[in-house]
Amino acid sequence: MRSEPSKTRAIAISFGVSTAASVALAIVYLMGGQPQAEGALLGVSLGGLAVGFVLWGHRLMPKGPFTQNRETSSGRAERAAAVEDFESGAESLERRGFLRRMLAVALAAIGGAALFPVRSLGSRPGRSLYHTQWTPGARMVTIDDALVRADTLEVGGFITVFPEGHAGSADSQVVLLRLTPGSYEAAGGGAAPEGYVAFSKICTHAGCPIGLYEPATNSLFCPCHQSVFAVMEAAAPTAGPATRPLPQLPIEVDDNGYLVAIDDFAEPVGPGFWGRGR
Amino acid sequence: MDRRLVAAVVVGAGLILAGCEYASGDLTPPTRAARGDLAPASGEELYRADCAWCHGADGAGTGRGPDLDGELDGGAYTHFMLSTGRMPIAAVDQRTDRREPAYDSTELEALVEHVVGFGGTGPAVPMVDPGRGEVATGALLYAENCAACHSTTGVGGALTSGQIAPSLQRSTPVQIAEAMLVGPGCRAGDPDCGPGDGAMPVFDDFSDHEVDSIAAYVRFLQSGGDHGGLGLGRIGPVTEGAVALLIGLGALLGLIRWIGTAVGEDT
Amino acid sequence: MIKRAYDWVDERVGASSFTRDALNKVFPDHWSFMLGEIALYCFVILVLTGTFLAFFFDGTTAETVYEGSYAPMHGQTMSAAYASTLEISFDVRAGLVMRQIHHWASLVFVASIVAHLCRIFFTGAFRKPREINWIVGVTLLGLAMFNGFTGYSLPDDILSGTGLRIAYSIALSIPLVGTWIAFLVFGGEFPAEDIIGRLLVVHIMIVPALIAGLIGVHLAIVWKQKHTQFPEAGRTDTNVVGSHLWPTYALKSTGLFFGVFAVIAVMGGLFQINPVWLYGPFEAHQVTSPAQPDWFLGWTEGALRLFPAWEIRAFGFEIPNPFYPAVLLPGVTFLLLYAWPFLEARFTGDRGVHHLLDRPRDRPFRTALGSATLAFYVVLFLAASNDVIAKWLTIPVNNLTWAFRVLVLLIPAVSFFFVRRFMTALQTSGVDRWTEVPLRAVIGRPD
Repeated sequence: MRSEPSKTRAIAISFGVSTAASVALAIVYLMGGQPQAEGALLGVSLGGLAVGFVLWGHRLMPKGPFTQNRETSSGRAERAAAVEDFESGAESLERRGFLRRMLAVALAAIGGAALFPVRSLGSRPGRSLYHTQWTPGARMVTIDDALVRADTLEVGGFITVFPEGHAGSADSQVVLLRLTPGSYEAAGGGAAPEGYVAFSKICTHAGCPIGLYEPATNSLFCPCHQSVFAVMEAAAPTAGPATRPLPQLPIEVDDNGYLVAIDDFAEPVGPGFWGRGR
Repeated sequence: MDRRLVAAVVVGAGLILAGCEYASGDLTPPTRAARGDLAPASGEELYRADCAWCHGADGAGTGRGPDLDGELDGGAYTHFMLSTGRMPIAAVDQRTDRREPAYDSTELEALVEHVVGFGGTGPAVPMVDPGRGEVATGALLYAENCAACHSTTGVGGALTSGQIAPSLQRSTPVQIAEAMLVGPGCRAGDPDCGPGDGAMPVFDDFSDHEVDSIAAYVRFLQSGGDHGGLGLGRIGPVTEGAVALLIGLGALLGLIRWIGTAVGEDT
Repeated sequence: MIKRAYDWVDERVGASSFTRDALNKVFPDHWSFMLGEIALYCFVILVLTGTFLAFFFDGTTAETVYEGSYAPMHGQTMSAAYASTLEISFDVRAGLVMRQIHHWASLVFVASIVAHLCRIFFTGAFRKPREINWIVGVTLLGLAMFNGFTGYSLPDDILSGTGLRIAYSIALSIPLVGTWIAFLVFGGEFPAEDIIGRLLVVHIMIVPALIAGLIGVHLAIVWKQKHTQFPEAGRTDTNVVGSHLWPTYALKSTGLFFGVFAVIAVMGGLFQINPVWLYGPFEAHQVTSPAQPDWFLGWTEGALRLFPAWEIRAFGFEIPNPFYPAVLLPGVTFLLLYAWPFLEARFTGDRGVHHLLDRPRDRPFRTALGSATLAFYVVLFLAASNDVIAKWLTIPVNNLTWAFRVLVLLIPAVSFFFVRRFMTALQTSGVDRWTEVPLRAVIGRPD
């Protein structure tokens, strides 16, 4: 059994250490602050208090254990009396069936009306998910609004593009790849002018931008849930949870050598939703 | 039960540590020094000793390795592979991960010159000066082009089929520029290693200033950025969650075990 | 002096009878009964640090040019939310440590709630008369997770922005009303600009108020019903044995508060968390890898990665793939959690009142089922870092995904089998410490 002085000494030291740390913390703060010092000193200052309190609770408190009786839940009589109190008060409501029904209708109506501000929270979906900003003849630009020419990328190149005037548009983001000219057609794909192919960058699984391109395997790889899209198979998913290929943007090289879209995507881009096929 | 439990934990921990060692892979390349021949050699001698058996006598390639006189080959690609220690490799299907370079700078220069002499039409070793670049510009370019594979924090990430986008923690400015120019990472055993055959895309449409800036930003990532304390590998919520559960909750479990009693203990 | 102050108040409110009951109230001392307190104190820390952060955080997507002291972002156009987070991190004294304490506290908050829930489950503390409190507690778990998600989405950085994009797609995947829900909650087509401002209101006002209120109900019920206790010497179904609230319990609990705060403060200063300056401001066409949510959403993220490429499509309508792992699974999870006390009462036919706890070994089936369920969610949680593990071991991610698909079914089954045997062996062997059970009883033929 520890003696009285030694019990109190540990507690006193804890509080003393805490005090010192708090002073040091104040100094650090006055001198401009530093995150690691702030955290460490705050930790010591709080920890000193913690140790002091717990030791006090352990060593200097009246020795337990103490016992207390549980009450049972409200007796049956009490419970019945409570129900009866409620029912006797409700009597004046009980015989007024017609009034109660009118009240119910009024409350339902105001409840319904009160929900209408929810409609103000957002625009109606409409057809906005079915279209992007790509239009026939829209020229491709990078995020810096630089036009993309047929000689911008080398074979194995990869860049994110948008329709001119809409750089940064979330639903119109497109990955532009340059394959070996002729290889896409040879693999059974459609047209790839000078080796360029363009797909929607929005993963058809959960909408993440597909930022990883591996020329060696011609794969587009989504970092969120590891869906893999095979470029040579028109970006069909070959691994992971994605179920649909990335929509392909039909493109061509215009007379001035710029890459342009022939039309918008043939289907909605991005992840699925209820009426997607309508 | 006690002793067996301890034994199981020790074996388990040992397995995990062994896995770490294996995965960290600081494999020793087959250098001439390792083989015991320390006399200085010319580029041709080095090539014949370490490279020709896969890449062919005049860089024409063999069944074991691609040619070195193609469209991408030249100073940049060769210097990149050698200075990052990715080449030479001892076996055809060995992973070409970053290792300690097998050659010192003189030997490296000689080898690069020799390979350039094969006639490849790829880019030369680029000149990069991060001091001329701007960190802020580099940050923007990095986020737009590099972060998706190499992570915003520069620690790299997984690609498909066992390939990885490596960490940039030890990349020099020249190596960064070279990688952007050639798109390295051809698959082991792949007979071709030309444009579009690498794990990394080709990013050669950048001005010198932009490349300098990207290099400046990568240099910043290497040396600074962890203002909040220990970086925990800069992997993000995965390691943060592990620390919160194991260290945070773990410490607090210890704390309440100290404060409270167990079954059978007195208050 | 305290006596004079107390007299002054009590002459006006007359609560001495209640005060006496309170001061003398007995609380059991078992260490595992403090898990809920850890959660409570984490909430206090969150409110304190969160209030500080709220004075500096600008929760809108309004564009601004960064002029603060973090050089790599200088001159960049970004949202006010992101810019103000950078300011807190670099230009407000103690801002970074407050931010990091706040975030570490949120992770430990949910962790302690889960630990507390497990303790309640494995000791049968949810049985009558405590079903109401179980329901309150499960709701608190959901609210804590939700507020964690809304909280780390506020800085509008690339990583959390990607998470919001996934949340949007999950909303879209809900049949019939998905597009409306997504458009109304977010305010339009992604990236709807109103979302950060709305998340702010939810995160600092609505959910904390709900949590605080429910914590009040939770504690009031515990107070009224009195705490449960383990069946040991002197403990019966009609008494409570432990320490008085005043002075012992109050002191130890205060010590626990300071201890929780101390641990989290040290973490906040020494361990970097959510370095948004490295992630960069959110741009809808940029992404980073690896990309994971905070740990408490790991099970949903893992489910999204593991669930195979299936979906239902007919007549132009579809129930897309994310719906099953990210709406159906969490829905079923919480439904089963809520229903458990009633399911167990029905299965066992036990509708009696219980104030004495079970030791896990006393209920081998429940313990085994709980362990198997926990194992299921743990495997999902680990699967969320499949790309991180794949990079570390340099193996193809896809192979690892397939391995996890097998493990998520195998490990729960195996753990059910072995935990049940282990609990039965503990019971029949009669040993007190679980480390003393003969191994043969678990993996061999039971005696």
